[in-house]
Amino acid sequence: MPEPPRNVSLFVTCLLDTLFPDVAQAVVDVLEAQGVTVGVPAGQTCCGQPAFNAGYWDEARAMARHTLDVFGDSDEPVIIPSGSCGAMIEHYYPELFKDDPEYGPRARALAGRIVEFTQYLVDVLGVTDVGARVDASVVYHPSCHALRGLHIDRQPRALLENVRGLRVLEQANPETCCGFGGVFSVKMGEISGAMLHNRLDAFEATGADWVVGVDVSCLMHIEGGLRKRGSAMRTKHLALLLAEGIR
Amino acid sequence: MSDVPFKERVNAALQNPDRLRAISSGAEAAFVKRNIVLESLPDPDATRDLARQIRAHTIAHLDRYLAEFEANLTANGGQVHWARDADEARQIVLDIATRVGAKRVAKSKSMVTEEIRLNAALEAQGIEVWETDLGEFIAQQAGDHPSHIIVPVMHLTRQEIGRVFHEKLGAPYTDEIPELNLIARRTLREVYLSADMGITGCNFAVAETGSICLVTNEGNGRMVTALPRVHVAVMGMERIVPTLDDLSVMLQLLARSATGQKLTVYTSLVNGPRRPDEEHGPEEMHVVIVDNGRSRALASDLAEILYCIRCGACLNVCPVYRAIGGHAYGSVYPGPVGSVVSPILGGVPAFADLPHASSLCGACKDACPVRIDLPTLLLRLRRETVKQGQQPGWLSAGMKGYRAVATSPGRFRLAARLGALFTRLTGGRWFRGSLPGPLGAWTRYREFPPFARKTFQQRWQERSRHD
Amino acid sequence: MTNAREDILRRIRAALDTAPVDALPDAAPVRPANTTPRAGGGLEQFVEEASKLAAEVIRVESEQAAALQVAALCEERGWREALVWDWEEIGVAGLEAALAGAGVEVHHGGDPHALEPVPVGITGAEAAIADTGTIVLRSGAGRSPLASLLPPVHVALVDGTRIFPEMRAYLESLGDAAGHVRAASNLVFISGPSRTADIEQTLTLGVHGPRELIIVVYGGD
Repeated sequence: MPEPPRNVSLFVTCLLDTLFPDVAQAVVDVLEAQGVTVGVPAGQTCCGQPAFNAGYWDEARAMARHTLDVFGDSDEPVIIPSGSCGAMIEHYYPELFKDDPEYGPRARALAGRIVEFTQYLVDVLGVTDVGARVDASVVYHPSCHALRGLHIDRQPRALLENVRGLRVLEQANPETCCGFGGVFSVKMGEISGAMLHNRLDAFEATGADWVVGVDVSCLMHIEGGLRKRGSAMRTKHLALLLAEGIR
Repeated sequence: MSDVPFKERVNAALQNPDRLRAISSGAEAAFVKRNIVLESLPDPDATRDLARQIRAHTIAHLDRYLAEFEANLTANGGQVHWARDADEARQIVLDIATRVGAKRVAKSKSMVTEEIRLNAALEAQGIEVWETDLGEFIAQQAGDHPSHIIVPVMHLTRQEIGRVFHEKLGAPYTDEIPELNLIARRTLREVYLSADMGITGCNFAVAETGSICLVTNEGNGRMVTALPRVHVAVMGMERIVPTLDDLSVMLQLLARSATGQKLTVYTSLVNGPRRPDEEHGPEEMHVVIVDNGRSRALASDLAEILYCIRCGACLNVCPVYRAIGGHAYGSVYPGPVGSVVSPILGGVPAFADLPHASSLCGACKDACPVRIDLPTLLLRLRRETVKQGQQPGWLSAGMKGYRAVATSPGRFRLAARLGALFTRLTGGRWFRGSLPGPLGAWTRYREFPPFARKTFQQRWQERSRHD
Repeated sequence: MTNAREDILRRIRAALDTAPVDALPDAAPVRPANTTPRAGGGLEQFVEEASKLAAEVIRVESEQAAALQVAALCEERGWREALVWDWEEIGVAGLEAALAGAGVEVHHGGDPHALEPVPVGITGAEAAIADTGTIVLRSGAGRSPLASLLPPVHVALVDGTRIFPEMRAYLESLGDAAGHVRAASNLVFISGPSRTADIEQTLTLGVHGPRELIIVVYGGD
């Protein structure tokens, strides 16, 4: 079995960079603990998904070109701690640039290099136990883009199962969308709010300490809702849970 | 279907949580049944793959199969008409009705006849139109609109239906479901026996036999094609398969996806009018092939929506549909498929909100028996809404600003610093107040997270400098 | 005056010629065989599936037994009239005599209004399909569609050696399926009595079509 690549680039994502830098640091910590060398190409901004999802494809292309320039033309895997950004690059960068002779091949190349964080740990490194210990109860929220866009579900669950002391609870109808959907959360606020309300009821019914997931976009929307209704429940990105568990 | 803005329709729907709960649990129940019954197929995934290929192949050769269908049906004694748009389609049916002197029409459920607004046109000519599908019949009597393409009155309780039957049919009030069904049966019996013309849709046309396949549980499809002297089937031009064998594959999936049954009670192949040696059956049989924007879809990167077999599974699984119900879409076609089909057939300006009314969760694509990539089609339509200037000014301005920020690391860092300043000025924690303007839609339901004092990339650079 | 047919076909051809490459994914036809039936595919499965749909299935040994069974039903249920396919179309020897013996007035056709009060319709079937509990009826001279539709009860006589595991197998058995189907004005696959769940998702039988479907299967294993 060939040795998995241990030099990777980190795709920070705009949300982790500006709102949740601890999560990005946690990704680095967990990977470095596995003997992986993590580089962070400078000048990262945003993959362009919010603009793309809202139909502003020209604006999205501009941001995507910048992103493609930042990540250059190496073969190194690009680790991305977000299911939705990962799905954007893998599925839609090629579409955005399909008629572009220069960026088309580069978009397809980056789409091929992108690996979501838990996918990299479990499917590439073959690791499901990072040696973490956390005494808490959690409920796993399978973000839609990770689940259906990238077929990520088994991997985060396997990682959670191996955290000593952790109780993993299950909520009703786990695969139902939390209602974030990017610009949808603001543009269609009432619908987003209604969908969020249903999910929050399901989470709270489990009595877990944290809602854990692989997408901060969902998690910040969920935690924003939990706080608004006065709940003590919080959210935590899986990378942060693992990193805290191995410190 | 409506001039009321989408937002208002959504808000109106959200005022009625009981009704939404009924819709949501009905949709969920249908989806659970679909999951169970799909497993009764020897290989559900392979069947869906095959069904998709059949639909793809058919659409890719649509002209050939429509011509073959027409030739075969004509040879069987049927008459084929072609309608470029809704006006033409309505006129064709009206002309037939006028020529045969039809006074009373019995209709089996047909989405395309609702799309072309046929009933109103017939009624304007003094022709009585009776819907015979129980759900459509109830909606018609109630002066209401269907809220689901398979279960039209999913949104009504039996008490509401009892009241409608009492007021409109003069039946003594009851909310016992068997009684209500009996009232409908008795009323519609008389209609079947006296109708001059039966109008149906077409679940699948079969090119190699010139057949119309009709799929019902109640038997009303058979009634309206056996008793009146004229049968008119209206058909969206994409609703066709090449052979009987292909039909059998589609039939393995249609009822399973729509209602959780292996097959509906009655699956009929209507091959034309009655033969000269038959006593019962229509003297004339017509099929109206309707374009009404479908060729527009075919020429675009939205063509995949033409694979749709109108099963309604995407509605049942959609969290948005379950949150707002069918009426909020303001269209004959609600739900995920409706959000794609409505702007295509009815024009982007009239339905510009629908493609955006989705979190793109992808559950619809997973549920679709022919695996239509609905999220991608919705994204492409959103692109169209922007191109056609149908998006609000604040959003377009915001996107230009975001582009400026996200194409320059310097501007991005500046924006992050401004965010951190906002957080510091508002208490340094999750923001509990109201954000201004459209952003207020976030804070109505959620607190807003605090910006970090330093971005990750800043920390990383500082750490690298120290190493 | 432009011709709608020509316009539409032209639009379709133009659209297909110029459509983007990814407009029609998976357009190349591939036909894997994937429909190996699961359970049995024979008479046992047919009886089980039809019963699940609230059809009543009665198995008898022979045509003669079938004829007697139908007559017995008429007596039991007090049916004095029946709307019946022509005898040769049902193809069960002795049926005419059995019904006459039970004092049943038989109609082979007539004005639908006049046929409204008839309590039972009696037909044959040209095949049955096991995996969905379905019977197949073709209309034609002497095979009125009303017999399986108008009366509240439909009695269908099915040859137990004409059971197919699934629809595809039935179609294959016809050889020229298209020719066979086109030879009739109408072919219907019937799976159970008429039903609806339009009101509060609650199941009721017999809304427009028959409330009861009684399938008498004769012969077979």
